[in-house]
Order: sequence, then structure tokens, then C-alpha cells
Amino acid sequence: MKPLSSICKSIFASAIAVSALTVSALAEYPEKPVTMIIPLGAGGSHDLNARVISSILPSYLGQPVIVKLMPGASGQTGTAAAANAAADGYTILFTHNFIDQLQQHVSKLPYDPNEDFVTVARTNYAAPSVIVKKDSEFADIDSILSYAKENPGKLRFGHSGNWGAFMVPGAMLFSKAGARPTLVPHKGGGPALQALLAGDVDVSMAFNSVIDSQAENVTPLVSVSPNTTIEGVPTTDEVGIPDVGEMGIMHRVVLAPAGVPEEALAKLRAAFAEMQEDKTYKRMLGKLGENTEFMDGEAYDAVRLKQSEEYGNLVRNLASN
Amino acid sequence: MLQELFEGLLLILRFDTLLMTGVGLILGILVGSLPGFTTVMAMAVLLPISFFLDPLVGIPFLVGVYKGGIYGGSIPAILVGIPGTGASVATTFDGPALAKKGKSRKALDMALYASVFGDATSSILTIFLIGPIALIAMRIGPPELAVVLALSMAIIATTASGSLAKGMVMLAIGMFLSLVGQDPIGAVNRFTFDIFAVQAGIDLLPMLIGLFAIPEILLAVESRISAAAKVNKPEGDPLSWQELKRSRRTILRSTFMGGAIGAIPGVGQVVAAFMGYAAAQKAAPDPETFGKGDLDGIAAPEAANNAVNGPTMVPLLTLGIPGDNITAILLGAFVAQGLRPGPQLFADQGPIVYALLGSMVIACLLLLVLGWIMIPVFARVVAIPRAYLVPLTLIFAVAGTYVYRSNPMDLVFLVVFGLFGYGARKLKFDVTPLVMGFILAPPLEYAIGQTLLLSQGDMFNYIVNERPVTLALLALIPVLLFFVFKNHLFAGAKGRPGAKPRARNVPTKGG
Amino acid sequence: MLDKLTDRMSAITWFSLVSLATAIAMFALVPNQVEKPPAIFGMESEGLNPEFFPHVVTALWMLTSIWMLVDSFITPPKPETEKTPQGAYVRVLVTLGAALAYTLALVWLGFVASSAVVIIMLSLFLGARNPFKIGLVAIVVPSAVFLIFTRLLHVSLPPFPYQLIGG
Repeated sequence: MKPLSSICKSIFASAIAVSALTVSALAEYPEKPVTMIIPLGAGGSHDLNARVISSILPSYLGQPVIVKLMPGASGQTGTAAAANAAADGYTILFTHNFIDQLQQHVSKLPYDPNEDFVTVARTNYAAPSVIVKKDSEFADIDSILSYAKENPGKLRFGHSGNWGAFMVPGAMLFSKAGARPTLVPHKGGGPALQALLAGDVDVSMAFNSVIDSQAENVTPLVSVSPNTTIEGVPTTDEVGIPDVGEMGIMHRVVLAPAGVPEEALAKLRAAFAEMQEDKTYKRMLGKLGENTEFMDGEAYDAVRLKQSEEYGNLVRNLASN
Repeated sequence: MLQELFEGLLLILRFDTLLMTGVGLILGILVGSLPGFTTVMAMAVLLPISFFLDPLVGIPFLVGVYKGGIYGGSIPAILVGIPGTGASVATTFDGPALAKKGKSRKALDMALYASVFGDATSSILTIFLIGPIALIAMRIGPPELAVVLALSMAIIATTASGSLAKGMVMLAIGMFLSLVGQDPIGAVNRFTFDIFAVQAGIDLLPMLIGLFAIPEILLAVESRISAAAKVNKPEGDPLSWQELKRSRRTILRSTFMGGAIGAIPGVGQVVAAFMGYAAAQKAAPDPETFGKGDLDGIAAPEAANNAVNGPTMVPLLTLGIPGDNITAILLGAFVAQGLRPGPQLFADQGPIVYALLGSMVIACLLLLVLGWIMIPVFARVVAIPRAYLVPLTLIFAVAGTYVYRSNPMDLVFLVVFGLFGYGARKLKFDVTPLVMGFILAPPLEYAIGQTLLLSQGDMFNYIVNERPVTLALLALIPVLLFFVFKNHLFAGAKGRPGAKPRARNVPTKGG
Repeated sequence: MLDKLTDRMSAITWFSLVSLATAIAMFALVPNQVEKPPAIFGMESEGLNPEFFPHVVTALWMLTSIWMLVDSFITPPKPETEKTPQGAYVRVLVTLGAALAYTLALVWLGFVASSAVVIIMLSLFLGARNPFKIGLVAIVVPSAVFLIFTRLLHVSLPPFPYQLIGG
């Protein structure tokens, strides 16, 4: 029961911190709560990650973190709100790379992701794997790709929503291999998995925690990941499809509006880095089935630039062939 | 199986489990009764707490939040006419009217008893029918869902009060409004008129609060507010046994309808609540009292929307697939506890699965007790003088709209829908079909789009050869249409009844 | 009685006409207001065209509007049963105006301040006269809502004063 009381304590401590807040003459960032915008809805995996962050980060930042859910328009609504917020370090955005870097290529945006944001941290990532039903006629990724090549449009690939965490790596994979499946969208990973189990689609994708729990029903064929995530399952690099592993995984990232004061950005980056060592944080994310593969802001900024380019190529490729 | 069920029940009949279920229920009721806070939000906020509890304490705790949140949503719906979610919209038809009559205590009691009965019965039935329900859930794919959704819309539009033409226009307007924003399949913009704020579309919550709560506020200020005449007990007496007994048929009917609808993934509580309400009104000897403060009008939607809960757990427990956000959070809680729902869990740890199903029933029974204690407090809300209650309702309506997704545009929608809802009341339009069209059109389009992709261009052969369930459902349509139009023909032959609403027709099965 | 009937009839008739006109306009606007989807694997023709549903829905809207228009002439309107109290529309308009002003002021003034103002004004307008009670309701309730929502439940409401409390 001890950790429970520590959570409660942090919740109440934040309430007290606010009510007891006084303006100090030597005001140093942060002197008031930080708002974390999530461009996605309640109850999704991103929301749950954010709940963990918002309950642990305050002890490293010294101020409460308020989650502001702003779903809508494929994540553009929340991102635009963050882009328009004052760049004072009191508004940050918790998003993922497909909203961050892909939307600019498929939609007219009122902001420029690379001009308007800098990275605070990448908190973790999730690597999907291509899955088929246990009794599927496809035993490996090659047979799927060659079937899709020979029979354009016949293979049904079920994913969790357009330009989402399964559709993008899937489309990258098939497009690099020169194969043409029919992409069938579903409203989230759950319905996509059900469609696979019911036999509505031939092939789909899933994250590791789901694959574990469905070990009886599905077979993972290849992991979209730069390194092995499931014992005995090859990565895309190993089956000879380069770049997908690096670009197709979902990064959960914290961004701040560009122009945020150096001092505030440094404080934020430091707070996120310190949080990585927190036992409760690790434990809670572990319980959610998430890794804690942290990447610091500067390193991830370089990744973002590469993503921007790669996703642009992907969208152009898809539209042209 | 009985052996495992019994073992499972023994696992959860312990003090800390019951205590944390109770705590979850209270938190759920409190958060759920705040407008704008959905059950999903309450669960997402409280999920991390469950990580630190034993599985057989943490998950019942979340189940408590879930049940409490759903019941909590009906409290503002009854007292001040603010529906927190789509599921409690039908409760606002009679709730505020009862509150005005000084029967808010009875209304809250009825909502509690109907919810608890609907939920407990469906949970118990689910325990015994888990296999068949899982089979049905697997057979419902996009084409089947499309047919069910289209049918639901048609039934609601034709059973709305007022003329059929009015109902159909409202349905069409609702469907149109749902098109605004990005389309559900390809995320291309539609009817946004190049305004970025509109790209996110119109949200359900401002629409619901605008259409149902704002007109209630405006109607309340229509009459001059006199210096409050002191009434001794403005919330009225508790529900009597006689009154509960009078609604027993309604509660039973709604429970079975809700359970049947719950077995079809992707339809949900909103449809169940409306269908339950429409069916109760149709079966009532005095349908004209509905909407003017009939206790059956509370019992019907509340029993129906809670009866959905049991079967929706089935895909989660048997397949490990969450059907909606609530079950997705529960899945998160399971995984966090090292339990992986799915066929494996069932085979290896049957008692645990039954323990969790049992905890749903126990949560219902605890809700009964806690509701009993809390209702008198909530019911006192109506004792607040109207000069304060009206502005406070407005504050909660606006705050509830805003917190949902922090979009100032939603506030504009709120006021516009408020005006529309007030006008509709004055012109005797029933806005229910508008809401149904709005809620059901996007999943319908999605399902049709998926079917088209799955069929790979040959829809006819695909359905005939591979989707027998769709064929069966399609065959049902003429039968249902006959029932609906038979009534209209009769009504026409007799000459339209004057002030009396048209007789209603709803099949007793959820379509 | 008779002019009341024509009043009612014309209201529905007018509504049908406005509804029909809007439906026609929206139907005509479909090609202009629906973006073209990007082709994926060059096979967009197999998916559902995003223009399809808008066409169906606006067409349904047009047809039902015509139906309602015809219906409004054929069906005799029901006699008015509820009468609107005197001065009702003034009170309704003032309340609606207050609601609109409140929603517009919410983001600028912050939740607590704008709520306090709207509570004071509306409760005075609706006949509350006890300054102590009004003050209590106007200050305590919005502050409590603000603290509970933002601090305990971790959701955001527009803050005030912005610099002090943060969002």
C-alpha cells in the first residue's frame, strides 16, 4: 500500500503547492504548473502514459503537470494549440512521431512541425510486428510479400487507422518491397486484431504486449524495429527491408514550442532525464507494457528531421505507384 | 464451471476487495456526476492507483469506478437536465420533469434500482452465457455492423415523437452534422469551409449539453421567478415499493434489450438507452405521460444502458480484445497485473476470470447500498433556489463542455445547439433522431467503407458467399419495415390522432 | 384560435423551406467542400469515395425537407397547449445573451473570474437579493470547481489570473 499513498501524496502535494503558491521576486522557471497537451483522446495508450508522467514528473520539475486532452483532426487540433501557445515553457506537447512528422505530408497544417517545435525528450517507443493468424497459409514475410506482388490488391492488410501506428510501418514495408495490398482501416488496434482473428483480413500488426497475450492465436513474422524485440522473430533489416525498422516504430515524444527560453528548455530536459531513474516511473510503465528507452531531446531532433524526409517520400511513393 | 465460479467468488469475498470496490464506486459516482467527465476519463485518471493494488483488489476497484461513473452520469441528467454522456440523454427526457414535480428523490431512486437491476442481471447472464456471446461477437464484422446501425437509425427516426417527416429531417440533419470535419476513414476534410477549428468536427458533448441542458435552463427562466416559496421537502419522498413494482415490466424489457444490444460490438449504450425508452413508451397504456415526468421514462433507459455492460466485457475476457475505451483501460489494468485476458487466461486461471465477473455483480450490489446513502445528499440540489441553480447549471454546462477537449470552438457549438434545441422544443420537434443520426452515421460510413475494401470491389458476391449473418439481418429489414409502417397505415386510416402522440413501434430485440 | 393555427403552420413551413434551401446548398457544395483523398497504392477507386456519404446524406436531407414541407400543409397543426408566460422571451434572450458572453469571455477572463461575473449577473437578474449568498455562490463554487478539475482530476480550465496560476 505504500506506493499508493505516495501517489495520493503527490496528488495532494500538488494541490497544496498551488494553493500555497506565492510569487517570488527571484522567480525561476518553473513557477507555476505546466500544461501538457495531448492531441489524442481519453483512455488511449498515450493518455495512460501521460497519466504516469503527470504523476511522477512533478517531483522532478517542482510543479504540477496538468494534462490537457485535445483530440481531433488526426491530432492536428492539439498540435496547433501547442504551436500557438506562448513559448514560455509552461505548455508542452506529448505526441507521437506519426502525428508530429507525417501529418504535414497529408494535410494542410496551420503550423510547421519542424519550425514550431523543439524536442524535450523521447520517453519511449513501441515497435510493432507483422502478425498472421496461427492457421494462416503464410509462414513467413517473404510468402506474404510475394503473394501481394503477384496478386495486386488481393492481400488484405488490416491496420488501426489511416496514418497511424500500424498503417505507416505497414505501408512502408509493402511499398519498399514493391507489393500492393489492400489497406483496411479499423478504429484502433482492438478492432484490427478482432478482424484478423475473425479472418476478415489476412495480415495485421500488433505491439508486443498484445502478441504475448495472443500467443495461442497469432504468429509474429517480422518485427518493425531496429533491434530484436521478440526472441526468434527477425527484424525488417534482417529480412532485407532496410530503413523501415528505424522509421516505422512509434516514438512517444514531448515537444515544446520553438522559442522557449534556454533555461526553461534545459530544466524540462533535465527533469525528464532524471525521471528516467525513478523506480516508480519504471515500474508503472513496465506495468503498462511499455519500455523506458529514453532518448534526449537533441538526439531526437535529428531523428525528427530524418522522419520528415522519409515520411514525405513514403506519401509521394504511395500516391504515385 | 460451477466449481470454478464458486472458487472465484471465494477469492473476492474479502474485506479489502469490498472496501476498494466501495472506494472506487464513490470516486466514480463523484467524478461521473461532474458534467464533462466521462467514465473513461475517471478510469484513466484512477488507473495508476490500481497498479499498486493486488489484482483481486485493483481490478474490482476499477470496476467500481466504472459502475459508479455510469450511475453518476445519470445524476445531473435527472436533477438539472445535463447529460454527461450519450447514454444518459434519454434520462433527461423525464428526469428534469420529475424534479420539477418535486419527485427528484423518486427519480434518483428509480435510476439506481433500474441501473443496478439491469447491470447485475446482465452480468449474471454473461457469466453463464459467455461462450455463446463470444461466438456472436466474432460473427459481427463490418457488413453486419453496417446493417445493424442503419436499422437502429431507421427505428429511432420512426419512433420519435411528432410526425415521421419531422423525425426523418432531424435524422438527416444529424447525419449531415457528423460529416463536418475529417472523414472517419481517410481523414480528408469535409464541410470545414477552410476554418481550421472546424476540422476537428463537432463533438458530441457540446451537442448533447446544448440540445438538452441549455433549453432546460431557458425554459426555467421563462416564468418569473418568485421569491422562493418555502417548500418543506423539495426533493420529495423516496420511491415506494408500489412504484418500483409498477415499473417491473419496463425494467425487465429494457434489461433484455440492453443485454442483446451489448452482445453486438460497436452499437453500445446510447442505442440501448433510446431503444429501451422507445419500447417502454410504446408498451405503456399512457404513452402521453412520457417526457412529462414518468418514472418509467427513467427506468427504461437506465436499465437498458446498464444492461449493455455485461456482454461488452466478453470480447475482452475471452479474446483479450477491448471493444471500446472502457474495456481498453480495463485491459491495461489486467496487463499491469500480469494477467493477459484471452482464451489462455480462461483455461489456466478460470477462477480468476469468474472472480472478476463476480466482482461486477458485487460492485452492483455495493452500488445499491452506497447509492442509498448518497442519494439524499444529491437530491438536495433541487432545494437550491432557482435564482442560483440556473446560473450554476450554466457554469457546469460550460465547464463540462470545455474540459472535454479544451476547444473554444465547442463553446460556440454549445450556444448554437442550445438555441436550436430551444427552438425545436417550441416547434415540437423531437431532437432524438438528430442525436442518433449524428452518433451512428460515422460508424455506419466506416463500416460501409471497410466492407467495400474487404469485398475488394465485389460487394454482392462477398456478402452472398461469405457473410451469412449479413444476409439474415438484411432479410429482417422488410419484416421490421412492415411493423413500423403498419402502424403508420393504421394511423392514417383512423385519421391522425390530435394531441395524442402516434403509437410507437419498436421490435423488442435490439435489431 | 384560427390565427394561432396559421402561425404554427407557417413556422413549420418556414423551417422546412430553410432546411430545404440549406440541404440544396450543401448538396451543391459537396464537390467543393470535400477534399480529394490521396491515392494509396494507386487503388483509391476500391475504397469508399469520401464524397459518397455527403451526397447520400444531403440528398436524404433534401427529400425529407420536401416531405416535411408537404406534411406541414396537409397535417393540421396541433392546438397550442402550453402558453408562454409574459415577458418570457426577454428573460430567455437575456439568459442566452449571458451564456454567449460567458462562453466568449471564458478563455480571456479565465474560468473563475468569468463564472463569478455570470453568476452574479444572472442570479441578480433572476431575483436573488442576498448579497452575502450571491457572493458566496459566485466565488466559492467556481474556485472549488477550478481546483477540483485542474488539480485533483488533472484536466484543464482557462486559468485566471493567467500568470499566477498557470493552466
